[in-house]
Amino acid sequence: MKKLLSCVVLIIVISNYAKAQTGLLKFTMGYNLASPMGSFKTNYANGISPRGFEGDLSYGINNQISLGIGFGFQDFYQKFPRAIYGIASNENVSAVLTNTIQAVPIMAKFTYTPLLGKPVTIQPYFSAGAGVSFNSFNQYLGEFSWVNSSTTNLAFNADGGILIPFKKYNVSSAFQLGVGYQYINFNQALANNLNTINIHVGLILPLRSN
Amino acid sequence: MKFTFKPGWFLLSAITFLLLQGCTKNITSSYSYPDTRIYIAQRDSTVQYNTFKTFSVSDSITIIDNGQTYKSLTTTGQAFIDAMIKYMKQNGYTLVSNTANPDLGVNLSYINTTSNSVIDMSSYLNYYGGYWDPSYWGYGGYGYYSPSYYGTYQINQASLSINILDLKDAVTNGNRIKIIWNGLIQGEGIDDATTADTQILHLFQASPYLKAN
Repeated sequence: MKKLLSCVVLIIVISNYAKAQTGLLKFTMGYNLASPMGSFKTNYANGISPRGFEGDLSYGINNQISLGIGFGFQDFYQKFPRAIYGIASNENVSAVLTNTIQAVPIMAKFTYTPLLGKPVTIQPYFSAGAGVSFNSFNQYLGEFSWVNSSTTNLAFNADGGILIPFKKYNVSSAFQLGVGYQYINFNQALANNLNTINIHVGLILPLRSN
Repeated sequence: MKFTFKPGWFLLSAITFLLLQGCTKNITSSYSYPDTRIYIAQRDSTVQYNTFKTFSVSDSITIIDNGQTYKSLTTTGQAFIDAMIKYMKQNGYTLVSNTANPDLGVNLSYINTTSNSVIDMSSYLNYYGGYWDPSYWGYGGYGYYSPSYYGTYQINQASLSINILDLKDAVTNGNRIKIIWNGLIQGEGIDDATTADTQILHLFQASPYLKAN
């Protein structure tokens, strides 16, 4: 009798795993830290940006794969000490130079959760995205805007981390912790791209379920 | 298939996006008054500055206040004049009286605007003879002219413009006094005697060619 009861419980649990994300529309929103790399770090912003968000809206095709739209926002700021800049052949400017860049990527996103549907409390995930980023770049000499440009560029993202469900055997609501790499084809004079390593924490919340 | 709509999450996302609007760093919040200032040094590339040896500085500052002009000599104005004399001397030029045929003349003008507009330096220079009578330098009846090396910059308060004039070659330049260097200071808190020396120093640091030797 005990064996039968155990089997019934196991079947119920497995069936819950089995539909853990299939048909579920989820919303993820989180805080993001971005650390510039390469020429972006050298020439535009050499510090970690603590002003960012990222998230996605995804639909579970099955337990391992969900597809959706990823989005984000990151604000980069760098103030350089006063220096002399040659801005024309006969013109020099002594100024404190400040760069600000705001990037808003929007991407098609693929997420793979290899262990979803299995009795594992902490779920690893991997995701990749491709799309565009709407970028705004401003450069100030003193308090005066010197360069002001807005561009739309290709953007790619790869990300991995863990999901910790709030309820055991139910990942429709979970805490997310991840590390990712983002590439934005910036195509400006001093930086071909905006490369960043991102660390983010977020919440996954259900919007609709079947 | 039955879907359950949960409007709370859409509210959450709306709030999040509103937060994004306040998520950019305000650049001026981390700026002190000196940080806001820019010091623009523009020169005539055809001029050899070491061919000049003596200079004289005007004894007052022209105030150009929203189209009204007058001459003034305040403590702050004197501090800027003193600083110009100091750094011209440090760079090898000899101070002489304006009646002793100086090679170079130095004029200072304080331009005050109350609108947030772009300074048109060319229109300011078109009336330069009205602000600074060439007879002060002993060249009555002459006019001023300059190459087009003045840029335009957006300002919302005030700027200090300093011109160095080629008096030595006024005759060979067709009876015109050529403006061979312009220093322009813009930003917050310019009108401050305690920082006049540092402000002029920044202009000279941006003008390493401005030497008599």
